Amino acid sequence: MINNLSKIVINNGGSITPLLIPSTLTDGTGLCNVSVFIDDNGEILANIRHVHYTLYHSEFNQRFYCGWGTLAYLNPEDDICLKTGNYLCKLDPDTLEVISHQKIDTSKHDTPPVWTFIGLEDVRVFRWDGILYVCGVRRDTKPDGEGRMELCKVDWKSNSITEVTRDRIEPPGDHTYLEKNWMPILDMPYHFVRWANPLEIVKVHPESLSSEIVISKDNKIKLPLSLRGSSQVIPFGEDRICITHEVDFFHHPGYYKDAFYYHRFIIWDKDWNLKSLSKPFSFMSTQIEFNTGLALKDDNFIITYGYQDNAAYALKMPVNLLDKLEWEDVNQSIEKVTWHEPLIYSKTDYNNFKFKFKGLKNILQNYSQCYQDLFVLYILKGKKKGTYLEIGAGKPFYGNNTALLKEFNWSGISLEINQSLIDQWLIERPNDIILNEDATNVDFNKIYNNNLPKSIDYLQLDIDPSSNTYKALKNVPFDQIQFNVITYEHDYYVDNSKYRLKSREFLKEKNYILIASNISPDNHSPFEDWYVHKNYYNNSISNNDQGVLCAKDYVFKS
Amino acid sequence: MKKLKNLLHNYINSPLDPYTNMELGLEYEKIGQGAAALSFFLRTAELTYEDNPKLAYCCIIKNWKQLNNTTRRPNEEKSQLETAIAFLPKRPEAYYHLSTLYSKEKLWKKAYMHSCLGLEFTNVTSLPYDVYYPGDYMLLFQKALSSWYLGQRKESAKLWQKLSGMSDVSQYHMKIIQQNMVYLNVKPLLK
Repeated sequence: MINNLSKIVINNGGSITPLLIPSTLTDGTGLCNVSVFIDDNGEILANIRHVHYTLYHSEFNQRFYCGWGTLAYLNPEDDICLKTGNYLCKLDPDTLEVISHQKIDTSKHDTPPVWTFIGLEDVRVFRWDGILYVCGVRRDTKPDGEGRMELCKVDWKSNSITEVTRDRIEPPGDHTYLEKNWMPILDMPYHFVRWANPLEIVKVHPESLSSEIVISKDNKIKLPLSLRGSSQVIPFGEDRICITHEVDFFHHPGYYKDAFYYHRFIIWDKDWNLKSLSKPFSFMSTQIEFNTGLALKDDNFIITYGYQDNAAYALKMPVNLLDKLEWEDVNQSIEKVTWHEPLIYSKTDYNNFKFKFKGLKNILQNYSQCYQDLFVLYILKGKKKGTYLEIGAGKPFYGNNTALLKEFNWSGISLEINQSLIDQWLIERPNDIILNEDATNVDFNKIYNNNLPKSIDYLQLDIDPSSNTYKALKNVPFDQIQFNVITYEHDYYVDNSKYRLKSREFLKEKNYILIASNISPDNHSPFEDWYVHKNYYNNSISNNDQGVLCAKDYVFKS
Repeated sequence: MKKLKNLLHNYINSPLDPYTNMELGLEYEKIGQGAAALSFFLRTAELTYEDNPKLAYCCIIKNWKQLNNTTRRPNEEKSQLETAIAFLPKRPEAYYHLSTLYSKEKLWKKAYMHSCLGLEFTNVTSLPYDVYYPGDYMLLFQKALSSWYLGQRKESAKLWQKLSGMSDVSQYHMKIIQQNMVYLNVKPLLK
């Protein structure tokens, strides 16, 4: 995790410039999500998104959240719509300051909006076949807020900028609700990277308002969060480079939704093979940031982004600073996918949820991959102030098994070997104990200061690969600590290894009862076993035959 | 722009330093970029509420001011001021601003109430940053104004009279006070 890319840039020959539109035009409301483009004549163009709200986002301990929560859009109270306008600007080639600006006149194609997000959002600006385009997502044309990428030609005259055409592009394949953040490939007219991981490239046909998949890779990089589009994809020597983003959503105890945004550089070769992927970074050490522009001018990248939807910046980054960044080991990361998107329980699932417990009604949403957190709370009857030992902590919220327990005032120790995940924990769950330890040989006496607890409510074991999880299991001092619930990840579907059987024999010998075996996010990926101590055994929910147990089928009424 | 860039550099080098956040917020405020200012004031408040509560309090009132400048957010404006009061209830500034907001809405009872509450907490120590508070006399001014509209004519007249004898009243407000006294046929206090 690179926390504060701007700091690296400004201390290594780069610069940063605030991008401003006079407040007489904006009432001082938010400027954000800038897209930058070097035009054919060398001029630097930028599209600045102007939103008619002020984002109120309280960070850190969040003492001063407003009436709408920790993250709120303070739009005019007599108009509930979140409106976007776009200013096309020219930037000074040396300072990157805005030297001229003009709001894009969209009146020719505007129709009365029928949904509350109005305007073309998160625009990327570029030229294809000599024509200047802006392209973003529009959600105001359908009463349910369906979003589609709209490709719009613009005509830039000396005193006006006009939207000339507006083509709403249908995605390929099955119907989807929301399409956004497609990344235009600047040297391949009418092509976009629709998904970065695994890579999917679509070609759009403005004349028929349709699109087709032209490149689809099947090797997915194992990452904790999905990669979403941010900047344009630009030529970079023989390769292509862009910036992606990922979002770690979470709920604060009780209610409020919040998020962390991270970005990465990604480089593909000319045949679209992944060459490099940076570690995630923040631009300026804040939670909400969003990049929509990347350009290459001489020996510098120009990277443009919004800060909390309230401010806009252009970063001039020497290209050679790429070498100073941390990068993923791509060859290590590309492997058979062992991660499935979490199956999320939300409040509307309450009636159909089988495992009811005290406090379930108040839960808006859980975090675990396959309802583990809810299972633990069910077994322990919605216990408050429980304890946990989390081996292989992963992300602080996304897919995490203890984040929800914190909302029930649980405490415990989490172990994680990946330093970048530790860094995220320090930011997102600063009050929780996370230790950078190798669970396969850690000394638990040392961790607990020679004062091992006699019992712990929940033990999670989940480190890759399955051989390591088994090693970690054997390293836990079961003779001294009794656990009430255990979730054990054997990843049997990945390697059909012997460790599933070995772990079952081991835990049986320690008097734990396998209550749900071969839990799977779907019908063919058995990856986990769930155990309880005999004091908590409940025959009515036992399901430990040898078949695959789809998590949804297990926790929901049929 | 040069100053803004310098302050931005300071912030980037120490994003958790509340004072670099504050200075950047002030500069954005100065150039009318209220949304950006609010982001940095809010960070400052969150970073200082334990160690420097008066600074945090200033920031909340400054956030109110950004929303006030933007207009059309009356409920959130009040919410910010109420947050300030809940945080440091024994300071007068937020009461004063709430009282003026209610005056503008002609909610005279609420304007009166908040001026009275603020007057309970005058003569307090100064704040590190300007929070658009002309002085304690303005709470008295608010009380005089709202009491008049509530039909408390005698009370109002006495308050205008008292205000006319105060030395720290701005020229602008003194003119209004004297005008009101003429309308109400109130004689100045004998010196």
